[in-house]
Amino acid sequence: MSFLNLNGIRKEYGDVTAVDDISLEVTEGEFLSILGPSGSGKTTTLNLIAGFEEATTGDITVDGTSIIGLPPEDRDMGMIFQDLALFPHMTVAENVSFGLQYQQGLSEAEIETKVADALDMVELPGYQDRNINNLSGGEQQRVALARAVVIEPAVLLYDEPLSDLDRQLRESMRREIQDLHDELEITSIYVTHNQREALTLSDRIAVMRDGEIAQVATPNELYEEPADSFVADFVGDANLLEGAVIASDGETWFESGALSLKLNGAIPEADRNDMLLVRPEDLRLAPANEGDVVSDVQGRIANIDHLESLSQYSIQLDDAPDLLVSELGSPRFQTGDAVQISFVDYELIGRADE
Amino acid sequence: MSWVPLTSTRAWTPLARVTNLERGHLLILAPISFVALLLLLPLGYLAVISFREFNPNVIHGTGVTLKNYGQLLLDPFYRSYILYTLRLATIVSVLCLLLGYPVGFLLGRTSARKRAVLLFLVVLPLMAGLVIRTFGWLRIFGAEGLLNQLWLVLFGSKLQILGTTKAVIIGMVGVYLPFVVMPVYSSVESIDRTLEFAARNLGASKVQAFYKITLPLSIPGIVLGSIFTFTLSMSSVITPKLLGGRNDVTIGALIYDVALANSNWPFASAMAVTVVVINFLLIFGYLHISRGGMEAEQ
Repeated sequence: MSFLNLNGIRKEYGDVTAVDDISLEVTEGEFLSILGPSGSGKTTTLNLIAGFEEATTGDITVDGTSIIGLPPEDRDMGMIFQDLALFPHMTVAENVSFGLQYQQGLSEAEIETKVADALDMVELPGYQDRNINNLSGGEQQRVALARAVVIEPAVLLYDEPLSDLDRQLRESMRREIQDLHDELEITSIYVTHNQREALTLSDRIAVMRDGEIAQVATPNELYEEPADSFVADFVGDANLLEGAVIASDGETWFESGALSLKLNGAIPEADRNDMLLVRPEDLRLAPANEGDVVSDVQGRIANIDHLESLSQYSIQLDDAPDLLVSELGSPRFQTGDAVQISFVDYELIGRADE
Repeated sequence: MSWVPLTSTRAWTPLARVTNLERGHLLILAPISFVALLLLLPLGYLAVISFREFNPNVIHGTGVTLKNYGQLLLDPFYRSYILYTLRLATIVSVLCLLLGYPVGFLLGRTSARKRAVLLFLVVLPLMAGLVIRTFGWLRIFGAEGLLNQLWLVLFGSKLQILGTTKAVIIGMVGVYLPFVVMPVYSSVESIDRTLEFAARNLGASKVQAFYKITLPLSIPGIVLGSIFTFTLSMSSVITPKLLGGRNDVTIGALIYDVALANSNWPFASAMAVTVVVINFLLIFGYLHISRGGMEAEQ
């Protein structure tokens, strides 16, 4: 059952529409990411939920009750801010207990216990009297987490909390957030432009573009069945080929320069303008002089990236944009090598509106 | 690396032999020596004179004495001028703070376009100069002034404000208000607004967020502004003289009279040095008390 509901939310600043009639249903305990490039309206959406800004039209409900018009302090949302927003003139304990002082019927001893429990949970036991300004980036991050979860909010809101951290810290904090969510199961909205964070953390991801939601799906669905070329390009690496869909003798073909690929089944007239999506791992390489390979196109290695357990080749074709191909293991070709490429898996995909 | 004293021969070594760090020090040396020459030297000279005997024919006599300080601090007549000035400076500072903080806060929180207009309005009186502004008050408070004409229409009677301590206080608050507004504005502006959002998100109302977050973080601006208004009020001469009555004589006005009318430079110097020491001690104590807030800001 849906717990947090956005219904036709629209936000306009003068002539600019930042959020364009979006609707979203989040179930209780779900971790949903809003993924999108900067300017896509994802942070505005978060601020509308938190109550820092008021929607021009539309409704937001939590557990069936509308929160539109409520001030931020009455919305029962915990937020982790991009720059953390820890109070610099307060100790760790004063920061973490800040929200508790506004909750009814809590004794001082209860507040102390809750603060201690929250600090234990983020692995900062005994940090109560520390000065905020003397903590490391990771420690500050944990205090911000503790401060938001200690008030036991209905919904946790994350505003790109890891974007300012270095890679190593980002990885460990990502795991921290994951563990915290597994333990507390608080409904969470996580705004990010980092697809890796979104893919690893989320139950579902809402991909935003130009104030609209392009697709809401699980990480797997998003990768396997992207709604259009924008989602395909933004989530994971993708080769998007321009070409023409041609029907002849009961068969349909996708033709792009020297490349000609057979398509399965009949292609409706409406999809004839589509692009071809090929993931880098769905392309196979072979040396150009190897005779017994049924290849689809020839090319030359323009660039090689060796990423952890993956080799990624940029392959220059005669009359088309470069193709991205990835293989497991260390590179077995060199820059400049002539190769033949076969297409193992591909599909037609709708063109995102420009 | 220690400071290169003015008299040291090292200060005159060719630049080529001086390291980069020292070259930086040399650059600071210019303003430092300027301040030293124009502030510390006269002040030091005053301190020296304040221990000299009175001789009406020259600036000071030759003998060394504590009599000037004794007279100032022990004679209730002279002490009352110091107390009057202290009281005036305190009242003016508190009023400036109460009136100036909201204006400074507004400046720090408003849009850039409105801020430009507001800043101009705040700075405008400073461009007119102290004497002109005080004469403006004179026109307003005078027997046939703007205020009395208005009062006559409204209540059928006249007000006697000019020549009272009230007029002095109102005039001085008007003159020194920008000195609170500006530091409060710059302090409030430097506070990250997301801190307020965070407080609201955690359950604090708008008012609670202000008292818990914005106000404590703007303490540096409050401290700086009140130090400005207090020290300026402590040395005020013109505004009390023009707007106040016979009893509204500040220590500054007394120093002026004693030095220029009586030519008693040693006694005037002792009073001046005493004011500097009082200012210094009060500022020192004030900074000490408010250090908690100052540290939090860093």
